[in-house]
Order: sequence, then C-alpha cells, then structure tokens
Amino acid sequence: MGFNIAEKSIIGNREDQQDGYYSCITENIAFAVVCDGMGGSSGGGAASMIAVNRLKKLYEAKNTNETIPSFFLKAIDILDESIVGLQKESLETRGAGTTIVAAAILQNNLYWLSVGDSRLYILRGNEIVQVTRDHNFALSLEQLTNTERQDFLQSQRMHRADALISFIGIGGVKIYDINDTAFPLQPDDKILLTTDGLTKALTDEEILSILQDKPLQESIETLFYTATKKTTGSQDNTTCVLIQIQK
Amino acid sequence: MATNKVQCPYGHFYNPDKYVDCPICNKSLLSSFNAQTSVTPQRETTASRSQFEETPDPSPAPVRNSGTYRPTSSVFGNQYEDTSTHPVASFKTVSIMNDNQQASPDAPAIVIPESIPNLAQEISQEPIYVASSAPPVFSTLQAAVNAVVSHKDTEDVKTVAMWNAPAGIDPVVGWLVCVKGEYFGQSFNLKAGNNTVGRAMNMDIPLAQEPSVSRNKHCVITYEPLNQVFYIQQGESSGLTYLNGEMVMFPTKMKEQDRIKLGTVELLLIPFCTNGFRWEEYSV
Repeated sequence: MGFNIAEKSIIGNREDQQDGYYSCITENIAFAVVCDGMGGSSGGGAASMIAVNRLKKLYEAKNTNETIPSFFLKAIDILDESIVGLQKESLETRGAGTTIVAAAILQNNLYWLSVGDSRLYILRGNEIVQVTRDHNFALSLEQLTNTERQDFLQSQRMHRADALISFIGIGGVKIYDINDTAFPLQPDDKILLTTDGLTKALTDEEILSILQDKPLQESIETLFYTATKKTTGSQDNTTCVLIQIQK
Repeated sequence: MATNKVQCPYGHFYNPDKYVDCPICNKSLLSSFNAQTSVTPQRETTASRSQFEETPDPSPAPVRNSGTYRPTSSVFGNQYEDTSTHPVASFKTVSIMNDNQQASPDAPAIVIPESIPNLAQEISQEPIYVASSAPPVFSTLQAAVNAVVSHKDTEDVKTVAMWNAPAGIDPVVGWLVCVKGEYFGQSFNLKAGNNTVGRAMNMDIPLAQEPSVSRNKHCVITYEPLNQVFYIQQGESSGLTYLNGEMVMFPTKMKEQDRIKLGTVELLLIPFCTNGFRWEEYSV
C-alpha cells in the first residue's frame, strides 16, 4: 500500500489567491487539506492560510491515542476560534472566513472532514461519489417542504443558493461532515479534494471522465485546462489535491 | 436499548423494532440478495463472502440522500445557475443559532464501535471496519460511502435557514429605499464596493417581484470607501436606468435622496457612511 499524489492550485482570473492547501505522504499515511478563503481584500487569503497551517500543526502534534474523527472534531473549534480572532484584527479581515476539506488515510482507511462547500470525492472504476455535503443555503432548502420553501423565499429575499450556512470563522461551527467509521479504500481508488472553483465549472461526470485511466499529474492538468477553457475567463481560484491508492 | 440490537449479514448493528432491514446497508442490495438466495432471517449471519460476490445487483441501487447533495437539483432551478457569481459574498447569509438541537430523532440507530483504534494500532493491525467475520462487499461505491456517512450536525440544517439572520459581516454603508413599486416602504442595505440590482435572487439587491426590472444586473450601485462616494452605473442588461429623470450613461456620482428608476420601480439613496462616519473607527 502506498500513495501517488498530484496537486495544483491556480488563481484563475481573480485578483487574489484565497485558496490554500497542504499535503503530506508517508508510506502508510496520507494527509491533505484544501481551504477556500472568502472575504474581501486580504481577509480570505489570510483565513485559508491560517486554517491550513493550523490544521497541519495540530495534526503533527496529534496525540497517537486520539482517533482521527475526534481529532477533526476538536480541530474545527480551534480553527474556528483562530479565524474569529483574525476577524477582530482589522477591518480588512473583518469578513474573513474559509471552507475546509481534509482527508486522512491510514493504510486503506479514509477519514474526512468538511465545513463549507469544498468537496471530497471518491473515484472508483467508472463511479464518482461526492461524499461531503455542500453546506450552503440550497442544502437547507432541500430539507424544507414546498410550502415552507415558498414562505421562506418570500420572507428572505437576500439569500443566494450558494451562500454558505457553515464555514470556519462562523463563530461556533454546527454543521460539518466527519465520518466516524473509516471508509475502506481499495487499490487504485482516487480521492479528490477540491474547492468550488472546479465544481462550479465542471460536472461530476466530466471530472470522472477526465480523471479515469490517465496518469495522475496529467489528469489533473487536463482537469484545470478543461475547467479554465469552459469558464472562458471567469475562472475562480481553484485548488485540487488528488491522491491515488497504489496497487 | 442495546439489548435489542441485531446484526445484519454485513455486520451492521441495528434495532429490529425500528427497522425491518438494516438501515445502513442499501435496501435494494439487501432485498435483491434475499430474493436470490432465499436466506433465512438476516440476523443469522452465516452468509459467506462468496455468496455476496456472486450476487450481481440487477439494477443500480437507489442511494440515500445523505452526503450526496447536488446543487444542480436545487429547487432554485436555472434561475440561480449564474456562473459569474462567486461565493466571496457568501457571508451575508450566515446565521448563528443558539439552540443546540440534536441530530434528527429518526436517524438510524447505528452502533458505532466505541473505540476506534488509534493511529499506531491502525497501522500495525488489520484495519477494523465493521464487526463482521466477512468484510462487506458493496455493489456500488455509493452504497459503500453511505455505509460510513452519518451527519451529526449539532444544529438542524433546516432550522438554520428558517432563522437565518444577517451576520453583519459586510457593514452597511447606506440604503436604497423603495418609494414606488412592489417593495414600497422597504429598504435594502448597501455595502462597500459594487451592489448589483436586478430581479435574480443572486443580485445583492434582488427585486424578484418586479417584472419590469431586468433579471441580471439592471444597474450597479458602487460605494467607494476612500472618498465615501456613491456611484450608479448601467448594468449589463437591456433595461435602462434613470437617475433623477435622466438616463444613466456613464458612472455617475450620487447624493442623498437621489431618485433611481428601474422599469416602474423607484428607489431613493440614503447614505450612511458619509460626513465622516467610517466603520474603520469601530470594532466588533
């Protein structure tokens, strides 16, 4: 058992790069995190950078007796507090926040963490599954009845479907995705961590068809090329980390 | 309660009083398995791994909704699929609730092993996934993912939306007050930078009930914080924008109580961050 990894991050045609990522691989363990910062001027970039660095340090200092799910759960609160602290530092960082998606693979056991709308996908053969939810306004609407939905839309006109209802920096994260039971990976499975820059440009099917049967680095380059081409000049910050389980 | 738990052929524990089939496994997977192999009650788990593997799933298993939400199936439909929008402005719609609701009461009675092995053990031992002699074999990746997904949000997602309050992260710099049209008597917050006005819900100021307003960016109101000036400019739509009765052709400076006309709607500008008031002088 071992891992192959490919990663890439582009600024797109935005003025700032607000995405951040980190990955680390040893023989038996793979760890990766991707963050999509938000909030004008320097706030978003700072938030994602802090979240990535903080989680990296926490992971390195992790007690070996602690399980990954409970580590992730604790990390959410610590990161959230850090970003709330950042918001108070200046007006520029006042609106700062970040999404986070992280994966830890121990041998073939996959654990994940997500807050916000960055995603984790698992790819196996000709299947692709988005395992994390997008914690946005549309998710909450999914759970309403039609009447409730109508009433709600009438009363709250300022909302947007992609507006986040949970992110790091909200001040008390209550909606998140963590799996308590490990997901058993098989040889040749691929794990994709990505910000919404990719998933707003490409469908799941397109991502699958690009990542199937190609060398890792080549497929990730194709992914970015296709996304950028498709959005024709409105490409958002985009970051992907792709991990493959070796045969 | 724990005494009522039984184990399905895949090794999952569940409450037989609440569920006929194992709620963790994909149901069609189970039923197709049962139909073809006529197994005696599921709780007697004698099926071997090869039995599962030899049972092809005739139809793709319907998947549970959890964890597989796709925005494309949003109730908003195409109206919201504006690829030009960017979630940077997402803050405005965030909410913070105080009540600590537990996860949905009808969530499956899943028994998760109390102690998940630690890092060192996990590396040195065989991975522990479920307490079953035979490892589970799922016909689809989706079913395998569903088996490990459980959402334990400490707040009901639905509640968040229903009580969604502005988090106040984008400080208000002024208001547009509607003096004619469907939104008569209402005000809309303006923030620093560009404020798009249109009928679509992804506009900063959505006038959804105004058919005479263009859907996408009828006009843009800009607040420039350095000099504390408001500007108005024509948006990207075909609908025309009027300022105090004159058509807006170029970005134009605005002053207090200037009258904006979009279709049949009329809005007044009420500045807040002028005459020396600056958010920079205040902190959270």
